[in-house]
Amino acid sequence: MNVMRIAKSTRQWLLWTIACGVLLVATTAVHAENCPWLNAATAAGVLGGPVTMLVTHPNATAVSCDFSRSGTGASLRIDVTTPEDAAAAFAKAAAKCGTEKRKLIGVGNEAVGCTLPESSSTVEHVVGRVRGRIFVLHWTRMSNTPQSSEAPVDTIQGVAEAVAGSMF
Amino acid sequence: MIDGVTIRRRLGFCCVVGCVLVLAAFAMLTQTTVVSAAPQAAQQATQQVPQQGTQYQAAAKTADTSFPTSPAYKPVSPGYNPPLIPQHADVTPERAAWADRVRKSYNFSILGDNISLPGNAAVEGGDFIQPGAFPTAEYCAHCHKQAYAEWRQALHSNSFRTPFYRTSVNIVMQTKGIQFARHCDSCHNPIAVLSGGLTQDSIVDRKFDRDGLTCSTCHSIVGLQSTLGNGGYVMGVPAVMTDANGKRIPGEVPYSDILAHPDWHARAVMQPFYRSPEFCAACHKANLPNPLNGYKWIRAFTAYDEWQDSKFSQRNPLTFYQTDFKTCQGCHMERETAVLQEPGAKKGTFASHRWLAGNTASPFYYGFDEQLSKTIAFLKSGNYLNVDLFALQINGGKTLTEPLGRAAFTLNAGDTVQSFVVIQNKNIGHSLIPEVRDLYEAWVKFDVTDDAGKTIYQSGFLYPNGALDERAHSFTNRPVNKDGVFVDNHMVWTIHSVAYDNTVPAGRSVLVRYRFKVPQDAKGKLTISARVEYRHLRQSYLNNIFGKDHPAYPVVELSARTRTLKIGENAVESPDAVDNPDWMRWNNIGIAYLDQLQYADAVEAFGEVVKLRPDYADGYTNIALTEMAWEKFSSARTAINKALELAPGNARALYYRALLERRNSESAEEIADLKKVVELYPQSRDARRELGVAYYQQHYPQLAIEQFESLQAIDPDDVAAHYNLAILYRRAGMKDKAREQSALFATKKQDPGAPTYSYDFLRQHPEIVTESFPWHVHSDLEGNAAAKTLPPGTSQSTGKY
Repeated sequence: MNVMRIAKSTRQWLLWTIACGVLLVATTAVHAENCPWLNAATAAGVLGGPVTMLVTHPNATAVSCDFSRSGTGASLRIDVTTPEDAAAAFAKAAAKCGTEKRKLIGVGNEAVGCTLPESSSTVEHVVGRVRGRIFVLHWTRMSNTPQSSEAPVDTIQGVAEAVAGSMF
Repeated sequence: MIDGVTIRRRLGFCCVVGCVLVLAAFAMLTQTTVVSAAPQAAQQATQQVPQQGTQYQAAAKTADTSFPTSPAYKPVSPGYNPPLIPQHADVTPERAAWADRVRKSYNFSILGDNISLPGNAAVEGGDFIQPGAFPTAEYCAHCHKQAYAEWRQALHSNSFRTPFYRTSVNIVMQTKGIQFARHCDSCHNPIAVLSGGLTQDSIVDRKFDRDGLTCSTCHSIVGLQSTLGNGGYVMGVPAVMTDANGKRIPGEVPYSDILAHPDWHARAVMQPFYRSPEFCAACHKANLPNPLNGYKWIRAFTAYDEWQDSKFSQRNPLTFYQTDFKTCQGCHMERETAVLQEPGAKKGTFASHRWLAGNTASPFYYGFDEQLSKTIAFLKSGNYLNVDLFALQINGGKTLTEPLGRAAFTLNAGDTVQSFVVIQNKNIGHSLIPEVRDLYEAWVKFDVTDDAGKTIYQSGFLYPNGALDERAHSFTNRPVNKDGVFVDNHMVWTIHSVAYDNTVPAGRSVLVRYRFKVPQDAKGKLTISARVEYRHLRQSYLNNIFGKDHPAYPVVELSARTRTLKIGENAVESPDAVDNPDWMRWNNIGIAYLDQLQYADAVEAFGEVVKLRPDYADGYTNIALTEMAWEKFSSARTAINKALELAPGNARALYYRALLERRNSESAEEIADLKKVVELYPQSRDARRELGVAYYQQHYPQLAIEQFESLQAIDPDDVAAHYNLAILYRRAGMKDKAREQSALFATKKQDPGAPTYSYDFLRQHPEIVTESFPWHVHSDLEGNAAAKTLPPGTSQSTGKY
């Protein structure tokens, strides 16, 4: 009897603890980390509909924000890093644009962008620097989705301005 | 033995740890949130777009084309107007739905049920408004090509996105929370504030950030609160058309409708008060309220009040000079030839939407070359400043050579020379420099060179790294925090005191003294020059923003004067074309002496003015007010009587005579004179204040209340009005109003302990401590080192300030 009473009491305690844990997880899930550089609503505006946001920390000085539209393939990725040699890192990242790169005026300390055609999509790619930090934008536009009236290069410049602005 | 309690504890601990670990893994690896954020076009844009043929088109030909007076606009309010409190009423279903969505996650913080506090922005309906309700600049640009082209390069369109702003506002967001940015963004980004975007879990697409103060923000303002600033406007629901009855029709409409009824369009987007200085005051006046800084109310800046005190307002009888009335828009929106399509142009000219002023950094950063060149041209135009190499003092002699060029003198090798440079804020309608003077940089560059061009002495130079000579005479201020540390990066919410403020008020002059030694081997001539130079922004702030690898930002010479001094005899010269007339030169140095508390010198200088212009009543008034400051009331009375003999009814002289009459207990005469001044200048805050005091002292409480209430309508922050009204209301049994005024006085009066923060700062910075003294000399000569004037125990500078 005594053992049974203890077991019952323990079960009740266990249930309460699990319930609290579930509540804690649920609460935290609702307050999942926001992207520090761009909010999801603005990303949704770029991608043309509701988005899923994933914020990760690849290492102690890096943050990545992934916004994607479910079922469309459209996505916007923002990678921010703090390299030891920002100038070299910028040059290296900008090299991905090859000869197609265009200088973006009014974005961070410096920034370049380019349009990279892929098989079923087009990627708008921007590399920028704010003081000692580098950001890379990667906007995948699907060729079969409706486009906004704004030119994609203008849209990505606006995103780049917003991201760089948040980094100042 | 393990009992049930222990088992329970261990199981509970394990479960909690397990949950935390699961949670951590969940957070780190799968931080995925489905955000129901839809594009602005789909959910935020709820403009009502009437189709052609709707009712408002019908009676176009009979529409009144005059501008309506907004009922919300009260140019002169009888009393204190607190910021409007949202009413949560009278909004469309679309807006109500948006507001409800925003409110679910909006952080009102401790700031109450107000969407913009600690800013003052207010919106019709008092609730969040969809950002898509604001027509875009591109929509307006379809017709207004000239306005759009100018605006795109102007600071208003870049009021939010520039690094110069973001660097500062990001700090408030990261340290205090984004909700406190509503204070700044009530002016820098009204759509973000009013749409509910400034909260931690914002659902607002911030695409509009790029456009800052877009067309439809300014042109949707339907009223003004009092002139408290901090975004003291009332935003209407944006509309570009009205119906035949003048009722505003929200949102974008087909262009054909506008073209069919341009008068209805004008009625929706133009208000008479757009041309008034009070419109500018809504944002070009700012304070730091207690909810922002957790300390007390502190004045941040007020270009509007400075204008009101200037000669251009014609509202202040006490200015040293007079001129024609000119508003803010008169200087900053001068009409330009419209080279692009612009329906708003009249006779081919259009009120410039470049708002040319002092901002060279933004056009430089964005590559807006036309805006930059026009801004520099603006700064150099207008005869805004006068630089006068007024006098020389040779070898410390009691007799000065003054005014320089108009008196012969001898200069020898080996002489020690003190040069008196007078900088006159001649035609700026506000101080030199205005507003965020902790970020701007204007200074005097003073050079002495020998016959071969070799520098003998210089002050105000730039180091190779772009930093300004620490000992330069600069027209800046030094805000400090409670630790006596300079408030860098415009972290205004930490300001507790201002160590000094060397800006030059509109119409006044400042005397800057430089002492140097003529080399023993000097031959031929020396050249001395004084230049007022300006850089937007100070180098240390630019370094904070960009790091040290940024390009050099423009330095603009605002005004300059150069003279040649011969080694030997120097004869009288003819005045240069840029020189003020001799009487004005004397007058300006008199003003400068007065402000430096050198009363004897000031009286002497003003005495020279009346010798040259015996008919100049203001010369005698200047003598009188200086003697009043010097407490020589008897001779002041003589001078003021002379002024009134020359100019009976002169408001400025009457004002000072009234103060003398008060001292002599001639109360009836005092009140009579002040009443005349108020009649002539009903918006004179000084006259209203003194008349209120006079009535108060003579036991006319109701009349005193009227004057102090009128004073508050002119300046809602006047502490004398708060103080006296608190007493007068209480005596009149108006306890609630008395309590309100008491509270306002308590928060707005200066903290008596604040100067100690300034002293802490000055002790730490001997290189600039003399800048806090009204009277100081710049020199490299021995015996002039600033540190030697400091109290014992003062340490050397520890670096950046």
